[in-house]
Amino acid sequence: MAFDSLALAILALRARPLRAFLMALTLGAGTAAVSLAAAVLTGYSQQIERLAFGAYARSLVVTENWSSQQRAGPPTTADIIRLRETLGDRIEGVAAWRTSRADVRYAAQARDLTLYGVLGDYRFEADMALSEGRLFTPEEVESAARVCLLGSTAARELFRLVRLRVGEQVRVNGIACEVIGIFDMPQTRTADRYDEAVIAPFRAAMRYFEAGSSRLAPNEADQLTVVLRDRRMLRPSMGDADRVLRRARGSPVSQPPPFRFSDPTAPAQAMQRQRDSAGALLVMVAAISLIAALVGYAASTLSNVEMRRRDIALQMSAGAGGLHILFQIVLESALLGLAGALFGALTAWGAGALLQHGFSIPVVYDLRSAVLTGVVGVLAGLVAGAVPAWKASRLPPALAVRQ
Amino acid sequence: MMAPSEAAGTVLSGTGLLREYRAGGGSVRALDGVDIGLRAGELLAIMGHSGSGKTTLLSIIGLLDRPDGGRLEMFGQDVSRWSWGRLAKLRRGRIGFLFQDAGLIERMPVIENVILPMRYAGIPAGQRLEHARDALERVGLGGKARRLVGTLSGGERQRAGLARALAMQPRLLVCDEPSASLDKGTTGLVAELLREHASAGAAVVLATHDPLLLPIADRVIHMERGCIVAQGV
Repeated sequence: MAFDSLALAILALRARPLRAFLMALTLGAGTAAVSLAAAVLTGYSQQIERLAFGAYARSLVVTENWSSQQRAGPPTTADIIRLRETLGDRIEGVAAWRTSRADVRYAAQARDLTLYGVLGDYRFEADMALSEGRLFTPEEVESAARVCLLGSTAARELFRLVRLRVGEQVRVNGIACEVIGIFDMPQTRTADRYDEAVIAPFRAAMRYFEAGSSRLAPNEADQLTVVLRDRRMLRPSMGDADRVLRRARGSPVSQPPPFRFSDPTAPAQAMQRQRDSAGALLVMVAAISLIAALVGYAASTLSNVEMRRRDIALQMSAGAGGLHILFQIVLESALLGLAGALFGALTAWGAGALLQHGFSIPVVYDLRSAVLTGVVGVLAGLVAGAVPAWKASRLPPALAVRQ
Repeated sequence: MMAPSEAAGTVLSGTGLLREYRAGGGSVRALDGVDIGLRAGELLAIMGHSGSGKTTLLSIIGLLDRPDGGRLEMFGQDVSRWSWGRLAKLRRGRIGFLFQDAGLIERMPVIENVILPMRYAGIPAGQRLEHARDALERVGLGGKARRLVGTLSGGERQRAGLARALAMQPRLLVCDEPSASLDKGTTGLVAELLREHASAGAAVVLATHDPLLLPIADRVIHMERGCIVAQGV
């Protein structure tokens, strides 16, 4: 019975292809809304998870305290040694960052990009996959090698239609630099800043690329990032770091601290608030879209059943019972739901890509989103098709004779 | 085991059949105490004006409708009070229909229409395809099996309808005005196949106005206002 009902359901759908297509589109619209909402919420959740539980959440970010009257200047590479000695085993990695602007050119293309000079374990913050090429070797990152990594958008805008970008030379503030790797699109807000940026080794940035425009001395950094092994070590480490850096700068405890230690959980909390309010809105919009799609679909299925009254009665005269008809119409709805889910998934994927690239909204499609889309599509088809199917199964078979 | 009446060759037996339809505020009696019987191998023609109750009687005989009163025995079983589900089960594979407009599903290929009753009767796929092709060959539509019904002419549709009705060799064939709007040649083919089917041991009942079909009938009944007013051989 199941196979025959499936064959008849497919025949019935093929008999009115445009109608079937439009009905699948109706369900697809609702499914797309749910799928997109789920993908955005997953994206935000993953981002929060990464911020809250990733390496960045257990980082001490040390920057100059501009509000202190006892200006001690920016942190230096010597502070890295002090921090390593003080914090010892608690440290998983330390990186120093210099930040400036640079005019970057390739052939006729020119872009004003952020130039980062990095030293040490920069990958904890530049938390993005590579789309091409490789990262700095340990030797390169410690040296003044004229090599660089490009963010995804920066590379796309500089190279345009050039396909083999790794190995090409770009000019950073007029100095040639070999591109050794290109990052993928950033998935987290912390990685966002590297999308339109060029990253070079600390010493290379300082010696060649900043081109005398830097406000920093050669050993100074805009920021030191100390990644700890455990988040619980943050508070005591902050105190120890403050003590050792004060001592180095001769700044007594009675004075404001010479450096600022930023709260790494703040972005996660901000993101959480953003997700909660955006999530409520998204769920509401998705629910309304799904309800509208269900109502439209149910109305179409009902009118379809009305239109097929005689055909259904003819099937009954050929031996179909009410259950056969019920099962067939339900199957038709399930098939349309599945087609709608496929359409919805494609639409949601396209809209998601637009949101991600155009508006930096994190969108993640994973197996759960795919399964959810399929289940929502089929369930929507079944729910909206149930009443019309039940009505069809109760049509009087005598309609076959009375045209 | 067959019921006694079935063993005696009786396919259907109806006594005092009543059927009323609600119309407006009142009701219309479409069948008013009809007694009817049909044996295997018999071809019964029902004649009468429009509104005389022919189609209602055919619906009840074909188990597409239920009488409001009276007793109906089909294949040896009293089906007067049966549920729709049980009636559908009994109808499946045993009763074939040929309607005035052929009764085919327009947007389905011809062969799928012919296969339809066999799907519900649970005949295996290979076998039903073979039966359907044979039946279409018999009515001269072997070359149009894959065409959509909507692309057939009126005569071809009726022949396809006949192929569907006969493909399963039903024990009771119910025909409603099978030759309406057919040319003489197609009417002749329909008459020949119906007679052949009855001669093979099946019961055939047809409602008709067409005098060309009367010679093949073993018995003719006339209806007026829901009653049988005359019978003849």
